[in-house]
Amino acid sequence: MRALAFLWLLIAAACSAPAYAADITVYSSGNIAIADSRQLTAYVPLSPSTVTWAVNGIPGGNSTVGTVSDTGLYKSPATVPAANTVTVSATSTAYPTKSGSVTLTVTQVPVQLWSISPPSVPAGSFTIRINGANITRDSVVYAGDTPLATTYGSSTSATATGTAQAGAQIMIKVKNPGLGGTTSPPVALKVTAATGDPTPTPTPTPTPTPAPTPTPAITVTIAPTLTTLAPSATQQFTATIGGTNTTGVTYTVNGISGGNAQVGTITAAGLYTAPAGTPSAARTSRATTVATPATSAAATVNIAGPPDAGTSAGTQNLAAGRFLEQATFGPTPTEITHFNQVGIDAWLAEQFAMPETAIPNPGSMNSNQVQQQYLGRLSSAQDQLRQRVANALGQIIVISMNKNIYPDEIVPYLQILSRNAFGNYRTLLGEISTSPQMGKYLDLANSNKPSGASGANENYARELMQLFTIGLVNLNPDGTPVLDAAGKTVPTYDQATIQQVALALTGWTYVGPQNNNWENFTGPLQPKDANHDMRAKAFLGCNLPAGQSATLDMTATLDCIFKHPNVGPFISLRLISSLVTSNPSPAYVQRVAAVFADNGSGVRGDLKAVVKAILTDPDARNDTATANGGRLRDPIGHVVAFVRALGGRVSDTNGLPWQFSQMAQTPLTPPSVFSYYAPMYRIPKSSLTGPEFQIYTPTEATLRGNMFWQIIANPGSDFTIDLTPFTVAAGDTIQLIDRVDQTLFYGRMPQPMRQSLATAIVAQSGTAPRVQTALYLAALSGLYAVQY
Amino acid sequence: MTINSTSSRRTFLRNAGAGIAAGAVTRLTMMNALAQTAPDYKALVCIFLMGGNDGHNTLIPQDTAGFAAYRAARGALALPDGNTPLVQIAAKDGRPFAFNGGLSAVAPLWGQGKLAAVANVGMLVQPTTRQQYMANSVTLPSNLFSHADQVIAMQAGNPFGSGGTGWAGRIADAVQSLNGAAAFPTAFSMNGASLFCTGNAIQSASLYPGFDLSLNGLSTWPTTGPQPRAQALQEILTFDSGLAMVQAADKVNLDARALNQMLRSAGTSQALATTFPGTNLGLQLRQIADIIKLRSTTGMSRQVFFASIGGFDTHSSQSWQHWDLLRQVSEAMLAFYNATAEMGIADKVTTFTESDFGRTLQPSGNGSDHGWGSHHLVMGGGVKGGDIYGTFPTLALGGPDDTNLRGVLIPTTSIDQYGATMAKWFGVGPAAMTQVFPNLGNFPVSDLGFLG
Repeated sequence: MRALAFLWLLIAAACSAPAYAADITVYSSGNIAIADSRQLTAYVPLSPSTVTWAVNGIPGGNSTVGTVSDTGLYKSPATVPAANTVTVSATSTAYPTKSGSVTLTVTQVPVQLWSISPPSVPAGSFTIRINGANITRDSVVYAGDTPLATTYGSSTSATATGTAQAGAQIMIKVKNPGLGGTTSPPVALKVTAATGDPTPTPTPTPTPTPAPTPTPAITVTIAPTLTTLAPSATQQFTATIGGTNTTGVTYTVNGISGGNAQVGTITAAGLYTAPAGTPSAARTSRATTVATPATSAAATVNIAGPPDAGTSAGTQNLAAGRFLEQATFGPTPTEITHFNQVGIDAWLAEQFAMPETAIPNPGSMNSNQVQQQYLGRLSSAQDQLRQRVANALGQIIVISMNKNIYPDEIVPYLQILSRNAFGNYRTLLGEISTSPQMGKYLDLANSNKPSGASGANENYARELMQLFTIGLVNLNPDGTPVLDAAGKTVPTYDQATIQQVALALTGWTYVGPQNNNWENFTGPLQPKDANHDMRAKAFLGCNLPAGQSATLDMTATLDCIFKHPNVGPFISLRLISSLVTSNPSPAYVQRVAAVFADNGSGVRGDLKAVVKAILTDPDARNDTATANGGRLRDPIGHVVAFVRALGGRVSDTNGLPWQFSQMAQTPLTPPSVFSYYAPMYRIPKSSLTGPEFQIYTPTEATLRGNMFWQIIANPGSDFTIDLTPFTVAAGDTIQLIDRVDQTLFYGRMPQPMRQSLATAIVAQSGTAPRVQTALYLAALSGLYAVQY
Repeated sequence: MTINSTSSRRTFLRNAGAGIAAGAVTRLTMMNALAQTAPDYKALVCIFLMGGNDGHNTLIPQDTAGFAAYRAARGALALPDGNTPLVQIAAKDGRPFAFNGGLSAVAPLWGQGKLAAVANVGMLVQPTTRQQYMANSVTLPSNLFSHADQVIAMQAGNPFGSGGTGWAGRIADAVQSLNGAAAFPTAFSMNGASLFCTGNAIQSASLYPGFDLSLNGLSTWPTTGPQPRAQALQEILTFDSGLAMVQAADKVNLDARALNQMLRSAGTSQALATTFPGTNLGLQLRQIADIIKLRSTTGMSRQVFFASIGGFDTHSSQSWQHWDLLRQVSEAMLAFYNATAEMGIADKVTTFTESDFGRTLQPSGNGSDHGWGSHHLVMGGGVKGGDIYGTFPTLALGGPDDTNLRGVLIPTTSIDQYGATMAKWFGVGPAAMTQVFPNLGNFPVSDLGFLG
């Protein structure tokens, strides 16, 4: 549709440009359901920039109108207040006259309409069943603006009857009436038995230009007299004065000197800028010369309305898309189709049974090739679930190519992670602990029993407990910290524990003939009892008797740590954060931790069962977005997902490791054993955990954006992608948006975003720019940066 | 081994979250107080000399006995030589010293009292003597002499590894309240996300000299294409999705667009007049100066910066290489000082060097091996310059400061003391200081006195 509005440009006397003072802006207005929360943000161009928050003028708000925290977190009341539009304001602490506010409309829990069955009806009377959420006995189904006879079924369904005309498409909505009532987004109901053009093109109908009222002595004309502009477009107008020496003119728009944001602005020199949105109604105006105020000339501007952005083509791929975002390095069109055919259980069974993608031995490979192939593998391996889980494990049990710089110091370690991704966590710990790669990275290799000036190296003992298994504080089964009577956390271990574990792990060296051998990465570390501390050790409630060999002490130590009750919740929380959400509910963590403790057959640490529990949990499979849900993609995950969504892959000879290093994620090279980002990192000025935000600052975000542009505009030899599905749709704006929406958002692209995309797309000339614009804007959106 | 040091590391990690929450609570009160005082700005700028700078050939004793000991220990590496002359300076008490001739550009600041040296600084858990080291009777830092580990430890300010945060990041955490709600990044690294600038709450924001955060998809030609894209992007990043994670991600991109505008203006009409050398380090320091110049626009009161230069691992052919590296450091430092003077805030910006470790006194061929303590430079209008702080070590193989017979000198000043002196000047109070430098209490002096 092409909405039209009409503006009058006038020439008249005197205007002055308004000056805009810096002030506070608060984001964002809108609706909020009862008992919900929204993080508000104040943009404060003042120094200092601190603010105080209030609801309807009440500092901090109250239980009737809702509360707002010191950091702008608004929590709506439990019931809809009598006046359900509330104003939340932020006032500068330094300049109390400066404030900004948003209005929030507190609604009932929003009614949702997901689908209609049948999806199309023949012309004439019809009965449909609607499916959605939060449907009440008061809910009314509407066809356009016409209420239909509605029969309540359940909170998720209702039936309605009405009459349809042939050839039409009816937009069906559900309204929950009453104070704070809500209306669902519409879903189209097709009416068959006739064909017709669903989108008639309106004819521009310019409002007649009122005749200027010239005087015989003085004339004024304006050119051009009729023009059509897109929103925000500009047009230079020229006024010609006759019959007087006083040639000064000023311009008005709809009688307003200089115009304004609603009708468009015009400069003293006649440069008109159309408003950003569509004006709501036609307006009239007059024009006057300075010398003879009755003299004026007018021009008409038609403001083209925003292009039709269409509505979502449906969320039929949402379940598949969300699942695959969690279980793989991103859904491909093929994988979505396959998943829809087989379902979760069969898909998981296939992936668990799939042969492991080989990780080639390094041979003569150089370090950069190891990184290149790793990226290629993430993007293209068929055993995607294994890739995703092995990668998650590698961010818990960390080694880094900044110390292990040669290929044979890293590749066998990747093989261990891959091989054990669906195995047992205890087995994984055993292989890691005797891996020469880890032996080098955390100094367990050649850690000898104390003698003379040297003691046992404590590095591995410490990180084994702090980072790989139990963490610093005792945890409840749901992952929350145990608090003592004073409300303080309880440490899991102390320095004496570290020393005891370090002694128990002495006596391991690289392959070779001596009791201490030079670095050698051809096989696991070897026990040398001559360098093993044979004394008894006691830690974490376990007792290792004196006289045990290095091998027996290693086994006993890992068994002891592995049985610590923290391991289940600690590892479950990290895996959930890596795969599904940064802020899981304690109940979710507890359900997964219970599977870690016992896979149902009495086995502890079964990663296959844990992964399945994480991915099939109701919290993970809830396809309705929650306000605090989801996780930010890390740089590699973000880029690889985008490439896979475009049916492509990263080449095995890509030049990306350096580019990713600038985005703070050099492949396989975290800066330290604490990995690329901290698991409990909080989003700045928020109460939410968002680990990946620690390496998402303006520069990193811009570089990611530039890589997206590279992918779609100049993939070179780094990326192989297939834009055909988009180029064939490029001529039809709505279809193009639908393709992007279905590919990246599974039908969830919000209507305002569709509109923004449509406006930007129609301004492009040519297929490639239209496709690039649509994909680029979608990829830059936070809705794509976050897996939700 | 003592338990104290490592348990304080753990205490620190455990308490970090609580410390941040407390900071947030007090912010409003502090800002009200601050609003009534004059605007205030301070910056700390670290120049990290990657590879382990040879402090022995950076600052050289010139008294007769000291110079003779130096020449005896250094053998073929002793300066001056054919590549490297010496620049004569003196400590406040009259002791004569010399800079490596590579430092000639910045050396005049010594005479002006804007440049100081701190002697024999390094990573320590607690004060350590040769006897204690030999007897293994005190706790020592982990993995001394390993680049990968000591680069981490020196940035983290943690003798046992990273702990996940850097000491400048923790300083920034501690003074976060002084920046109020200003959205502009506090901690900038010119070398990618650095551990040094990562705090518990503060992110290490990256900047790459010459990259002004322009989005390539918004700068295609003709502009009729990217302009509507830019407009749509602004809409997409600002509309209310109702999803906290999404809006936090959008906020980062919005900040990027704002920063892009500021950097573009900084690079053009408001450009600094001071000329910087075209070296990599020169460009990094110019970028930092550009950011500092934006302080009134951004409303920031405290910022920390990380710059670095590599190549100091001089195992062979050291003489000319070392002179040339110090020349690059020196010319870039002087330009940076001049830029801060141009902005009228020379006394608000303190620039200092750090490195993995020092090097052996004894040469190996025509190079040197990994050592421990090393001398460092501190520059700025707030520095009580023209003097040497800390204890200058005895330059003797097997001498009282040596760990062995090769001249691997035990630091006489810890990195904690060095950093804490600057943190105090920066506004970190005593309580927060114990979180920034958990081992500081092991040392008798927490303020070396080189800042006013």
